[in-house]
Amino acid sequence: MQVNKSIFIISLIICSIGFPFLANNIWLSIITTFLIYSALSLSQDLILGKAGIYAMGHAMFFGIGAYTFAILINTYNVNLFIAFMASGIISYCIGLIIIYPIKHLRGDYFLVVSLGLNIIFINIINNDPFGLTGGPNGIFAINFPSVGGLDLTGAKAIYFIALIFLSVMILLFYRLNYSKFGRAIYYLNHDHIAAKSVGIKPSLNKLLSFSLGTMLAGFTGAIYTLQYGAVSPEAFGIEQSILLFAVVIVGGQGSLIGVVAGSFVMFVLPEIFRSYAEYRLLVFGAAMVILMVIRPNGLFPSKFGFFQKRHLQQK
Amino acid sequence: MTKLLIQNLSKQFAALVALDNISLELETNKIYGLIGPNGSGKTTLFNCISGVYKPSSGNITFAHHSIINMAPEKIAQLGIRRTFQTIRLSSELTVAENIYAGYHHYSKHNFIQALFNLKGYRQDEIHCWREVHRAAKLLDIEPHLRLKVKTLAYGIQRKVEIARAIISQPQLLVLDEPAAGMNESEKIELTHIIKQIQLQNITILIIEHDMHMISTLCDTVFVLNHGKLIASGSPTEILNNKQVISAYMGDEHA
Ligand SMILES: Nc1ncnc2c1ncn2[C@@H]1O[C@H](COP(=O)(O)OP(=O)(O)OP(=O)(O)O)[C@@H](O)[C@H]1O
Ligand SMILES: [Mg+2]
Repeated sequence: MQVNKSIFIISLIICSIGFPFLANNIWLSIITTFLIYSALSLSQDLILGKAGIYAMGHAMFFGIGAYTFAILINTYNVNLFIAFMASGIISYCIGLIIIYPIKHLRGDYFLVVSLGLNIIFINIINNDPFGLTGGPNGIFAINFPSVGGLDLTGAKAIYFIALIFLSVMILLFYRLNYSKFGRAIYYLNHDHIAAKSVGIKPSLNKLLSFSLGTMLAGFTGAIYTLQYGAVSPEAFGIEQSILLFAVVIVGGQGSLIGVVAGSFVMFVLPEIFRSYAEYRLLVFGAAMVILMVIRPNGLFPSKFGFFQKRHLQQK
Repeated sequence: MTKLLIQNLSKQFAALVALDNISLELETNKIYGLIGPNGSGKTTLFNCISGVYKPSSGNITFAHHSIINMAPEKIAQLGIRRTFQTIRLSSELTVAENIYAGYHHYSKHNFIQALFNLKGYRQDEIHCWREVHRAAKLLDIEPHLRLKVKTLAYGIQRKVEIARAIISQPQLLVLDEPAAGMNESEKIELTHIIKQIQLQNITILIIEHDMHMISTLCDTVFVLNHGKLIASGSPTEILNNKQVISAYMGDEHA
């Protein structure tokens, strides 16, 4: 079992490194999209699946990251790396400012508030404040400066940036269950009264998981801007937020494999089967309904366990 | 020495007075019983002590801290731990992972150490695992440590909850009907275990309907009826108290 797992992981690494040298540009772009949306869905899962916060406006933070990156580079000619960091940090700060006053809200109220904020966000960028966001057309033909002589806008470069980012996120998620923070949000999510009765702080952990989730979405947004060289409002609306929410629920809350598989189905298959655009929403809608009826815990329900075998074996 | 002091405590739910001007005092290292008919306010009193409910008036002092407006997690961190009348465990987790929750606050690693499985993290895990083992041993549930809670019998789940509550070496342990759903031999074993816990310098307050268990264990018993404290004293005094008998039997027997 352990050997099989290592073989699987090593082959996966080799394949993902070799892939861009074998694939054509269309496939490269599709798989890059997959990597980006997987990272985005994982950031939604931190908030929804791991911490159990019913936030349905996640595309907004993806958008904040994407727009921050685009504006800093297009309007202010900021260095790529600084712009990238700023995308995550600004998303983090806005996430913190938003969650702080509403952290005590119950799930259903929280959901409505977060959707409302997403609508407000779209309205703001549509209105082109200070001439920064470009209104409904967005910002396009962004010229990315090269970094130390390296052109980061080539398809292969973007693929690797997305791959590295997703790998870091997977490591983070994989180790989360083994960390004090990850365990705290698990206990709080499953029974907050019992968790509080053993001294686990509810609001601190809620603030942290939400704002970290929005920060990761912000970083992902920057990579998205890098891939398309353009941003426009429709990629960050409530339809996207609802899809992200559905990916986590359908894939399996808190489940790494589930969420990645869910983003493949929701964001990549539609790209591959573009000619069936008319039917695809119908098919996905039906699939979601059927899946939730037969597998209410998602495609791959999460398994949580955190005492490593090593600890269990010793006496 | 006084461990917990409750003064003129009242709790109202809309028109219902669940606790009516309760005053009582718990001293260090003793076992106290809290009895009373169904709906008399026993669990409500526990919820006020542990911070789940905010009392309507009155004061609660624990080890010289007023805990009346304190959040439940703060109260737990001060050293009051409890169990629940209806079991509250994470059923998908193993017994070990559930017991660990009680020690989570004292776990010392940071996120970076956990992320890269560094030495500080590994040492902390081993330390926590030892504590889990120690608590499980006291409750005699070591053989079940690796099993998921949902696969276990009710009596064992109750013990897991107690283990989670005592793993942090609290000063005050509050048990809400720990023997509910247990058979006679399990009750005898539990009585023995509770005495062992007391030996670790833990003050214990216990709600229990089984009078035999109460009289074997408790130094002092408090009796609630309709939210009022109607009697307190040694188990024999309580068993012969007319007011208590009439509260349980109904007035015509008095
Ligand atoms: N959250 C609440 N809201 C409204 N009423 C409540 C609440 N909690 C308890 N009560 C009421 O307070 C009274 C006391 O309830 P409590 O649970 O403290 O009784 P108890 O002595 O623990 O009874 P039992 O032996 O059945 O556990 C009951 O009438 C109950 O209905
Ligand atoms: Mg009760």
